Amino acid sequence: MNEIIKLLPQMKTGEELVSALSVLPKYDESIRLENEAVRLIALYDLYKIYIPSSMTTEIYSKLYLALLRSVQKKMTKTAVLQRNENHKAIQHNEYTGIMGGSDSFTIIGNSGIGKSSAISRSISLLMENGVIETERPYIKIIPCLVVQCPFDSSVKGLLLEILRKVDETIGSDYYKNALKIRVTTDMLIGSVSQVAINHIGLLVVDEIQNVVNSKYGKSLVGMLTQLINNSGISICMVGTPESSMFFEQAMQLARRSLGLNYKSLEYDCYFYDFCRTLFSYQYTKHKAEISDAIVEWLYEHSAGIISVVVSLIHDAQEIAILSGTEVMNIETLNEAYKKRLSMLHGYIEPSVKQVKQTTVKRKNEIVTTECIDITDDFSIAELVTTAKANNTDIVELLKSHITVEEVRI
Amino acid sequence: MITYLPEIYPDELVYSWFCRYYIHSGYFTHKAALQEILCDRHNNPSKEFLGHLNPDMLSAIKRMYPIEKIILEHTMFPQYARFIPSKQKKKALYRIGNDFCDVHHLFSVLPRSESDSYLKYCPLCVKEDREKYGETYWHRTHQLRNIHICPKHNCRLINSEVTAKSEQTFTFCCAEEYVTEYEPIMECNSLKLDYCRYLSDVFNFSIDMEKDIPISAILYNAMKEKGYISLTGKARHTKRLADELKAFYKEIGIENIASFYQVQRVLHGDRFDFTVICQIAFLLSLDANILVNPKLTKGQIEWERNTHYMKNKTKIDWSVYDEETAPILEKILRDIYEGKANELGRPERVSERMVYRIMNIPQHRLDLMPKCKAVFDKYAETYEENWARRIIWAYNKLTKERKSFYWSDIRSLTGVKKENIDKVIPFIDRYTNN
Repeated sequence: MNEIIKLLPQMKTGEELVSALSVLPKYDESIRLENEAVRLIALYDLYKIYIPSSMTTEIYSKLYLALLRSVQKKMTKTAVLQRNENHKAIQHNEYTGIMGGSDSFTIIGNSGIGKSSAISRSISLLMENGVIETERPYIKIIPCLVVQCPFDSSVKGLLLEILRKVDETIGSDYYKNALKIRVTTDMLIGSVSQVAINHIGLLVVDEIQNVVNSKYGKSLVGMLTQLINNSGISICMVGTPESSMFFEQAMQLARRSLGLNYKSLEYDCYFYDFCRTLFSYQYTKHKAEISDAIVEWLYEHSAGIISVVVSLIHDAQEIAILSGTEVMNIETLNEAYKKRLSMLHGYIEPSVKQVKQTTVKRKNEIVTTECIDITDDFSIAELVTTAKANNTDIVELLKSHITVEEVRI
Repeated sequence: MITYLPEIYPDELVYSWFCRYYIHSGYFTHKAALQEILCDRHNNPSKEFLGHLNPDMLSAIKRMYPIEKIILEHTMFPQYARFIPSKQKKKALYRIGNDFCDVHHLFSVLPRSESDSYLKYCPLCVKEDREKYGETYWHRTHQLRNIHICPKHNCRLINSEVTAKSEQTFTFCCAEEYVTEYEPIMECNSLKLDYCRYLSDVFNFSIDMEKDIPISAILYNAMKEKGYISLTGKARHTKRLADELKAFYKEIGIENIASFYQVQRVLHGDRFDFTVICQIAFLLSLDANILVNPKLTKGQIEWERNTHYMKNKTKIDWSVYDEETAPILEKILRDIYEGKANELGRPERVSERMVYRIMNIPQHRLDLMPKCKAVFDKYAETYEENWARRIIWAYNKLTKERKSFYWSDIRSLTGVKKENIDKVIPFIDRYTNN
C-alpha cells in the first residue's frame, strides 16, 4: 500500500501550489502592432488565464486528501473482503458493504465562479504523474476520474459512463463486456464497485444539480452511496446551489454532501489583482491603464463572477478592435455589457440597478393642460412644479431631459 | 488488456490465482475472464498447470514473476517431472512456459483415482488464510495425488465439489466460494502423518535442473542397504519389495498402493511416477533430502545400470527406423491422398491417427521421426481442403460417365454435406486447372 502512496505526486502548498495552479499565457506588447485578425485570434488567450484563489487551494487540498484516504484503503485485507462481497452482487447473491466510509463531499457554487476550472486545475496536478502503475500486485490506478451526472439522472447511464471512462484511460474492456450481456443495475453496481476499488482513487461527479429536477435523482444519489460503501473510494459531487436544497431533504443525503460552498467573489485584493492581471493582456492599439473606478465598475457589472469579468474584458476589446476605437475604456466596457451580456442583466445585480416596470401604470385622469415646451435650459425646481401642476410623474419628466437611474434603497 | 492482477499467495495453484483474478476484476461471466486469460475460446483453464495463455496475460505474469518460478512453485510440475531425466525436465519446463504444450506430450500423466477426483482443502488452512489475507485459496500441496492429510496441521483434507480434472471445465471455481465445511478432523495415525509429510517435503523441495542421477540408481542403493538386492548386486528382490510395500501401506490405511508392475517399471528406469517412488523411498526409510539431492558416484550409477538385464530388448534406434520407414510411408500416404487406396478412387484425408494405425506405433511417436513427420505434413490437409478435392474428383468422374447429374449425385459420391459447401468454395480454385 505504501508503494502506491509513494507513486502519488507530492502535495503542494503555499507559493509552490499557487505557481503550479496558475496559467498565464505569454504576452508580448508587440502584438498590439499586428493587424486586426492576428489580434482578435490572440485575444482568446484571455480565456486561458487562470489565477488561483483561496477557493482553488482549498479545493486542491480537499481533493488531494480525499484521494490519499481512498488510496490508503486499497490493498488492505478489508479491500480483499469487499472484492469478494462485490462479486456476490454480480452473481445476484446477497452482499454487504464492508469498506464503507464517509468520504463523499460536495463542491457547490454558482455557475461561472470558477469551481470547474479550479477542480480541473487541481486534478491536473493530482494527475501529473499520470496513471499509477504498481508491479505487485499489477494494478493501474487512475488518481482522479471525472464524469458528468446524466441529464436524466439515469443510474445505469452513470455507471456505464464510469466504465467507459476507465476503459478510455487505462485501456481495459469493462464497458464492452457490460454491453455484451444484458446486465441489471445491481450487477453493474457490483462490477463498478470492483472497478472502483481496483482502478479509481477519487471520483468526481460534475453537474450534480441534474438530480434535482429528475424523478430518478434520489436513486442516483442512493447508488453513489452504495458505491462508496462497496468500494471505499472518495466521491466528490460538483454542482450549483440548487443541489443544496436537494441534499437537505434527508439526513443520510445531507451527511454525504458536507463540503465546500462558494459564492461570488468579494470585492477584495484578489479581485483587484485579478482584474489588473486581465487588464495587462491588451490587444488594442492604444493601451489603457486600469483604475479603481474601472475595477469597481467591473465588480458591479459582473456581480463578482469571474467568467463574466473575463467575458466583459474580452468582448470590450473585441468591440474596440472591430469598431476601430482601439482602446478599452468604460465606454467599450459599457457597450460590451449592454450588447453582449444582455441576457445576464436579470441575474447580475449591480448596486446601481435598472428597475423594470413591474406594476401597472395608474390610469391618471386625463387633464388637459397647457402644453409647456421644455428647453435645455431648465431647472429641476421648475420641473417639479410643472409635474405637480400637471399631476404627472416627475421621474418621467426628468428622463426626458437627463439620464436617470433609479436606486433601490 | 490486463489492467489488474493480484499477487500470488505462497503455495497457491495458478488456477486458484486466475480464479481470484476473475472474482476481483468485476467480470460478469466466466467467458469474459477466459478470453482475457487464455488464447482461444476453445481452451479451458488448467487446474494443474498454466493452460494456453494469451500473450497479454503472459506478459502481465512475466512483469510480476519469472515464468519458471511460477511453473516450479505454483503448478504441479514437481509431481510429474521431479524424477524424469534432466534433458526431458528442461524441455518440459521450457515447453510449458513458452509453447503451452499439452503436458501429456511431455511426461506421463496417469488417470485419476476416485479419491483424487476433486480439489481438496484443509479447514485450518482456510481459517489461517482468511485471517491473514481476507480470503482462502487452493493450496498446491493439498492437490498432490494420494495425500489426504494436511502436512502442516495434521488434519484430514476435505474434498470439495470442484473436479480436479481440467478437461470439459470452462469455469473458475474459487476456493472462497466452494469451501463449505470448516470442522477439522485430526489424523491420529502417526505413520500416515509421516508419510503425508514425506510426500509434501519431496514435492516442495526445489528442483535441481542440472543434476541427472537416475531414480533407479538412487532406489537401488537404498534397497541395497535394506537387503532388497542380492549379494552379487545383480538381482533385485522386486517381488518381495512389492509385497512388503503393499502390506505396509495397507496397514497404514493408504489407498492407491503401487502394484508390482509399477514398482518394477520404476526400478528399471522406465517410469517415474512420483507416488510410486515416494512409497518405495518411504518404505526404505530413505531421507527426503537424499531422495531429491542424492550424492552418488559415477561408479555407483554405472554399476546400477549394468545390473539391468533386458531379455530380447534392444533399444529402438529411431533415426534408423525413421530413415527406413519414410519411403514406405510416402507411398502409402500418396495412395490414400490420391484415392488409389479407395475402391472408388476417392481421395481420402490423411490423419495422424491413420498414420499410427498403419505404422503400428504408439501415439506421439512421430515427434521422434522427423522424416516421417515431414512426409505426413506433405499430405496433411484440413477437412475443407479434402472436401474440395473430393468434389472436384466427383465432378470429373460424373462428367466422364454421364451427360447430366445433380448435387445429390456428388453428395452420394463424396459424402460432403450441403451445409458445408460455403466452407469448401474458397478451396475449389486451388485444385482446378483454370
